[in-house]
Amino acid sequence: MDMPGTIGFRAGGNSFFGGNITTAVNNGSLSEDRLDDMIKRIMTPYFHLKQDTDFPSIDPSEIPLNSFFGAAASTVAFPLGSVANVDVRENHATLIRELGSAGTVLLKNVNGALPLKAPKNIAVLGNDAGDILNGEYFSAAPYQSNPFGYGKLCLQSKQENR
Amino acid sequence: MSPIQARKSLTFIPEYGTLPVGGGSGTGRLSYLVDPLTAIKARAAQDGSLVQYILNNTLLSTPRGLASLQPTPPDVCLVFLKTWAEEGEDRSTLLADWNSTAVVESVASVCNNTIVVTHSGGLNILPWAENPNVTAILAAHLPGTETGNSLVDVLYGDVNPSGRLPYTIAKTQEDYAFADITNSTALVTTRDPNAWQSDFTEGLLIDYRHFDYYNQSVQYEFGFGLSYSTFDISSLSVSKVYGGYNISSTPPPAKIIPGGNPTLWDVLYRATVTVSNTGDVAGATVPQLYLSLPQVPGEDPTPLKVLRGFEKVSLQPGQNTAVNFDLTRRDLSYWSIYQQEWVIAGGEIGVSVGLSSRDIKATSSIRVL
Repeated sequence: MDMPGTIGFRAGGNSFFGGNITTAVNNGSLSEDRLDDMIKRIMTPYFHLKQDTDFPSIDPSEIPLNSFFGAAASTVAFPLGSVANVDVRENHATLIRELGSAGTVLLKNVNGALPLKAPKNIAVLGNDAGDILNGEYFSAAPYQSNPFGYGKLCLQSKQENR
Repeated sequence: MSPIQARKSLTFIPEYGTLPVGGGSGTGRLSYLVDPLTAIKARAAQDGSLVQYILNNTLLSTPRGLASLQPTPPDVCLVFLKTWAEEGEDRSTLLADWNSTAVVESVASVCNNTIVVTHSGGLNILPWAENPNVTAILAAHLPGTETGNSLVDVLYGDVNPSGRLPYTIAKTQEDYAFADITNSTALVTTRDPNAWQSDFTEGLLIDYRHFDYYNQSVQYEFGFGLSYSTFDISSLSVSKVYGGYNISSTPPPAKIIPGGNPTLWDVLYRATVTVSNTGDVAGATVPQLYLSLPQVPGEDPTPLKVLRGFEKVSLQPGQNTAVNFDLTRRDLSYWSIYQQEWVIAGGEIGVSVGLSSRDIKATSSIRVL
């Protein structure tokens, strides 16, 4: 499989596979059994996730959000839906909250520091504690020089860390 | 101008904001974000607590930068550190970013109950870990959109932490010199296609296998992680469960399927231990099984221990349970670069089960061949 779809984002319709597969089957260098096997591997998750029935259409915001390559550069005509802000989250808030705790490693805990016992005077300190002030991931101008919006490092500050 | 300098002049610098996800292909656009400060405010309101905050690291690391905290010292100081990681822009230090060491030392100098939380895409060295005023450390990694709530659940004990380190936190950055960070402008601009050659001379001795082999003390070892409860492991038994022919050194010939020779997944032995919650609260622990494979003459150094199984077990206080580890042919083998095959070595294979790579609670041994 090429990723995503063709050899490169701007490679037109060229694919390592595609028409080359047809040629390989026709000239006998690739068996139809092997081709069936390849197709089964690709299509199994498609059917498992019921993408053939009642699957949400692609959010049209996908195109401007992917402005790193831009809609014009895309060689694939994605079947965009007409409704933006598609909510596909289901119970993900519960799940990610649980996973966030599960991925947290308690490395040190002395003097009964944790768990907290209703402390009355709490200080919250550091630039990693609060909300994101510079906007979320967005790769179009004027954010283009900072495609991964928040938490981006100043290289100078990294040097000073040493 | 080097590429790094060019990048720097273009880089827009958002200092403020928690780090819930990594960069590059590892990033994700969040539907919303519950940051730690917001979640702490909401939880603290239930207790009618005062929540004071300073989010400016420059201020925090300046003399009298904490003077606005009144009354002081607070009952608890929660310090949040972050470490950006992204494809195509490698880290140049194992410290957390934004002058993190000075921030922690400054806070700990006025607050004798300083709790540090890190958000990082990989390991950090923690030079302030032994500071007596740093009373707790949480490596929260990259928790995602509910990051604040995930953390509050742990801080207030609604969730008993059970995460374990999938890497070693050594004492200093120099301890990783065997697999050093490559930080070279010359390499960025080279046109020599061989300049980036890496020969992996560390062989099998990566991470904990290196530190174990050279008997080097570390800050927090591979597999380590605390709980609000305590756990123990006892009664290790290892028995042969494979009823077939005599076990051969190399896998018997078989039709190769996805995953390789299917006999590599034959279960040859099974180890069983009893895991107990010896503390006062419910929680989960992670018993870990390590094998000590024989050193084969002529082969590269064999690690003293290799992880070959782990399970997460939830237990009520006082409860215990049996945990089984199936040992496949592949688990008991090493990859011989000479034979280009998985090989079971002759001699004694040590079996250790513990609560981390250096907290071994029970040992045994087997001879497979």
